Amino acid sequence: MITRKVTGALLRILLVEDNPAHAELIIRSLEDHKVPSDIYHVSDGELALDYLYQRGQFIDAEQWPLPHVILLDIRMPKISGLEVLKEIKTSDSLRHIPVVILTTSDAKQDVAKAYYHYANSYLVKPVDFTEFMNLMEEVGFYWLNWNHHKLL
Amino acid sequence: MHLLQRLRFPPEFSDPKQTHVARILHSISVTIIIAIVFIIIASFLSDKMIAVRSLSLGLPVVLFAFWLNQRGRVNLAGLLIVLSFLGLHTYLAWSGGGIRDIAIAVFPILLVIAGLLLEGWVLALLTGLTILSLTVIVIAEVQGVLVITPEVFVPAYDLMVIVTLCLITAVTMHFLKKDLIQSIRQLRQNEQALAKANDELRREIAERKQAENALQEYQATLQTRSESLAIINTITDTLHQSFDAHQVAQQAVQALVTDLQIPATAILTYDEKNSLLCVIASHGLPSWLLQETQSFPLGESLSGHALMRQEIIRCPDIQAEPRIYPSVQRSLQVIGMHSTLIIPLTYLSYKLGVLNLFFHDAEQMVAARHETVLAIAKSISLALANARYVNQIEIEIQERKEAEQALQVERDFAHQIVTNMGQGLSVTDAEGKFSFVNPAFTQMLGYAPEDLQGKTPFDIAAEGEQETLLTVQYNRRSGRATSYETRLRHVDGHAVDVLITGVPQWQGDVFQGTIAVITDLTERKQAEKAQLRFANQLETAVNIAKQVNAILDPEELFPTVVNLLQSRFDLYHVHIYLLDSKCGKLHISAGSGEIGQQLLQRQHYISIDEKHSLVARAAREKVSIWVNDVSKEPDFMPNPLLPSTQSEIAVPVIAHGAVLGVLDVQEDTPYSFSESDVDVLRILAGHIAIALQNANLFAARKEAELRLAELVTELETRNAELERFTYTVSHDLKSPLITIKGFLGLLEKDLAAARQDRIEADMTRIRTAAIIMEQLLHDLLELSRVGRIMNPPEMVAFTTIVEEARERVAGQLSTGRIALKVMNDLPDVYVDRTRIVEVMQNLLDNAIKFMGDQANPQIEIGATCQANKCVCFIRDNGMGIDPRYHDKVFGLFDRLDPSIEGTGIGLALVKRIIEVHNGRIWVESEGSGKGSTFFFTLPREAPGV
Repeated sequence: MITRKVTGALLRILLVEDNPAHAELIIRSLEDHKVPSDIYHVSDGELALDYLYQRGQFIDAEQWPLPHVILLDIRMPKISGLEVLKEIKTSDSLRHIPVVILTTSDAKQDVAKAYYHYANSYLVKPVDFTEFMNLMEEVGFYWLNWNHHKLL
Repeated sequence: MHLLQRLRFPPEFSDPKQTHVARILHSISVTIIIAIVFIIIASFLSDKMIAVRSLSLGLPVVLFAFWLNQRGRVNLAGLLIVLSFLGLHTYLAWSGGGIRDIAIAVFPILLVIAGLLLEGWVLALLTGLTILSLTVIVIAEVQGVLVITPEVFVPAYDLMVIVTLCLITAVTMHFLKKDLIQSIRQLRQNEQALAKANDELRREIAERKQAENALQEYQATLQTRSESLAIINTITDTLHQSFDAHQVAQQAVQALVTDLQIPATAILTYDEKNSLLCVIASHGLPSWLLQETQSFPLGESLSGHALMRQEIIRCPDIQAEPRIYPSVQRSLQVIGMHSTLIIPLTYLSYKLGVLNLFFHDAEQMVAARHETVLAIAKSISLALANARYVNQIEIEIQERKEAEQALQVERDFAHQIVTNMGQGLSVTDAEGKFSFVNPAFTQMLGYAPEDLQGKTPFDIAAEGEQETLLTVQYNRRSGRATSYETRLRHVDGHAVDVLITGVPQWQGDVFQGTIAVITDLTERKQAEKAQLRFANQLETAVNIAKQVNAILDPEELFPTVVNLLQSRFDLYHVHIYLLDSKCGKLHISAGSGEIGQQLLQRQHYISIDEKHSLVARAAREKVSIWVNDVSKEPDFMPNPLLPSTQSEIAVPVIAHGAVLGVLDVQEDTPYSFSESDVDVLRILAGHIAIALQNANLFAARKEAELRLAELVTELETRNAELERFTYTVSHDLKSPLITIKGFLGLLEKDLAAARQDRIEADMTRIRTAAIIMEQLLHDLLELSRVGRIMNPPEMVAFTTIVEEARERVAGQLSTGRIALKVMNDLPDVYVDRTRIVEVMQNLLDNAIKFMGDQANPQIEIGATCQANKCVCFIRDNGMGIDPRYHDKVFGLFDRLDPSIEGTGIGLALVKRIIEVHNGRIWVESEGSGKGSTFFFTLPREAPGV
């Protein structure tokens, strides 16, 4: 599943999330908080790499521009989030893009593995709705307002 | 010259008569030759030719006779001359003047010559012949037969003839005269010789008479002597028949009186202790006289003197002898004895006594046969000495007998000791030869006592010991007693170790030989050797044991042990049997050398109940079996591969009272093993037992370790699985929870904002999430049941399982218009039927789900069978799976396509069920769109059948 929501906002987010319900939840919480961002959503790791390397259906760079930040789930079919992370961080052209792990797993090995592969941040999806909303607001705000991006 | 010499000198011959005749003949013939020459000359001058002719004829005859004479044929020569002259002159007379012819004058001369030359009947015949010739001539003249030729007187011739005849006559006469003179001389000589012979004869007769007289005298002397000798003999015989002094003396006295007619005699013996002489026998002396002179000291009286000086005293007049006691003198006078002969009786330097002979007068004393008397005195001395010392000798003999008996006892004792002593005893002479050996010594070396007689220790020394013996012999000869160890050669050739202690024997400075005691050291040496061997063996055993302890793998251990044992102990064969107590068989585990390998290849074994096996017996009875000679052992089981086995030891290998096996060693000579060998082998067997136990323990530990590692791995896998399970469960259960909570929140907001368009969607999200959650919980429950809750396995036809699963998915199949093909002749499988139906159902589900947009969807089910398992497969022509994800599909909650519903537990469940059945599951697919085939294995029969 690929969702593209272009608003001309300053921040481009690539959301890699296999669970469509979760993806909708994330996108809507970001919208609700009026974070001025464009969200590009892919449903698995394979698609995420295709997107980032701008190949296959993502060959059009204008239509599929490189994101400022990547929100990456870990548990996904085919290629897991950690593998995608590893690939990004070993790629000269992609390693500068901050990768924020956003996952349901709070397992220590997952956290450790993520940082081992140079994840920029590790966030656990809160089960509580309000918390979820707050987190997404802060994430959006942080990456948009506080964080300086290479691409910006 | 030679001829002239011959003419001059007559020949000489050995026979004087022949020489004499030859000389006469020589002179005559020379004369005749000269005469003839003259006559021939004369005849020739007087022209008397007949004479010339006849004489010329006669000359060679005379020369021949001369030659014959020279040759020694004197008689023939003489006869020839006489006959020829007779014939010549007869002829001359016949042809000349007849009887008055001058030739006739030759006849007498001729006869004279013949008389000189010839002898006997030849002379008579010649004389007859001459007379006959003359007679014939006379008769012939008378009768007129003979015609006388008138004699022509020729003076020269006749003169010559007469002169010649005169010469011949003169010569002949000269010889006659010479002969005669010689004969007369001879006669005279003969006469003288005869007279001389007569004188000699007379003298000889006188001498012979003298000799005869001497002979007679000698014979008389001989007679006397032989008589004396006979007397002496008799006396001596008599005397020597007795060893009693009195008896001897009495007999002697008797004999002297009887045989030599001595008027009175007395014998006195000398008592050395008291230095006294006393009469022990007498004859012809009155008793009163004897009483007076019963005993007197040495040196007194004549007898005392004679004995002291050891000289014979002749006393012709007793009355004039001052040394004789006066009383005795008177007494002797009374009985008419006036002379005495005193002979001391001695033997060597011993004074034995005195013999007194009394005579009526000096004449009688001189007439006595002194030599005989002296001889008898000698004999008496001897007899007395015998008598005197016979006692002593008897005593000595007795003493000696006693001493000998004592010695014999001692000797017997010594002999017994020497015979029965355990040690060898030898006596060698100065040359080193054995002169005595005791039985112990001969037995020690296996000889008979006589074998060693004349031998030296060198003859029985073992090889290489000669030098030791030489040194020892040298030491002994220099007087040192020595004790040394050496080796002697037994009769069967082997060397015997001995200790020899020898003492040299001396007599003065002369080395007499050696007495030696020989101790057999064989036992000691053997013990030493055995000890040494045991120590060596123990060392080897320890070395082997070290190696044994270093090796833990029995398969490596036993070959090492047997080969080490075989080589280090130099054994014929070594092998180790291990007991399989389950089936009661002793299997060969290792054997030395090639034979060992062969036995091993044959998987040789012995039943523990085997009666005729030492190995089995050792294992059965748990004791070491030691057989010195297998040929005498009924329990010995010959092995055709080991034909030379002669002795054997089988030692059980025991640990904690349980027999593990048997160590068996064999030798190719009987009596090869000793007690110590058994001990060493026992020790080794103990080590082997420990090693075997160690090895078993080690193997068990290894196995346990392996098992443990497996368990750990399994546990780790399980742990990891569990962890992952927990993790995924928490993650995947949280996921729908977040969805539900999130959309509930959104729903609230939408409701508040009255966003009708979103409410439905929000609610659907919530519903879906709840369903997923329920499904998840269900599947997790199922998964946790697998392995925990199982139905007993049974033999089921695979077709049945397929049919049951097909029924369950029949709806989906028909919806998707999927064709299901099932192979014929599917096998029976031994499985948990319910579970395997679940597996089939899951896989069919899966295939249907991922059929994609296939126009002719179809699923194929089949199975191929191997030995004890079946490989089943389910093939579809759906979407297929990228090879990268072939492993991932079986992971819990792993889903390849999130768009397709499912919890991601199905294949994990399938995998788990197959694994519980000891099977394997895998997927083959060439990639997306190419369909995929799931394979899994199932058992065909119950395990262990």
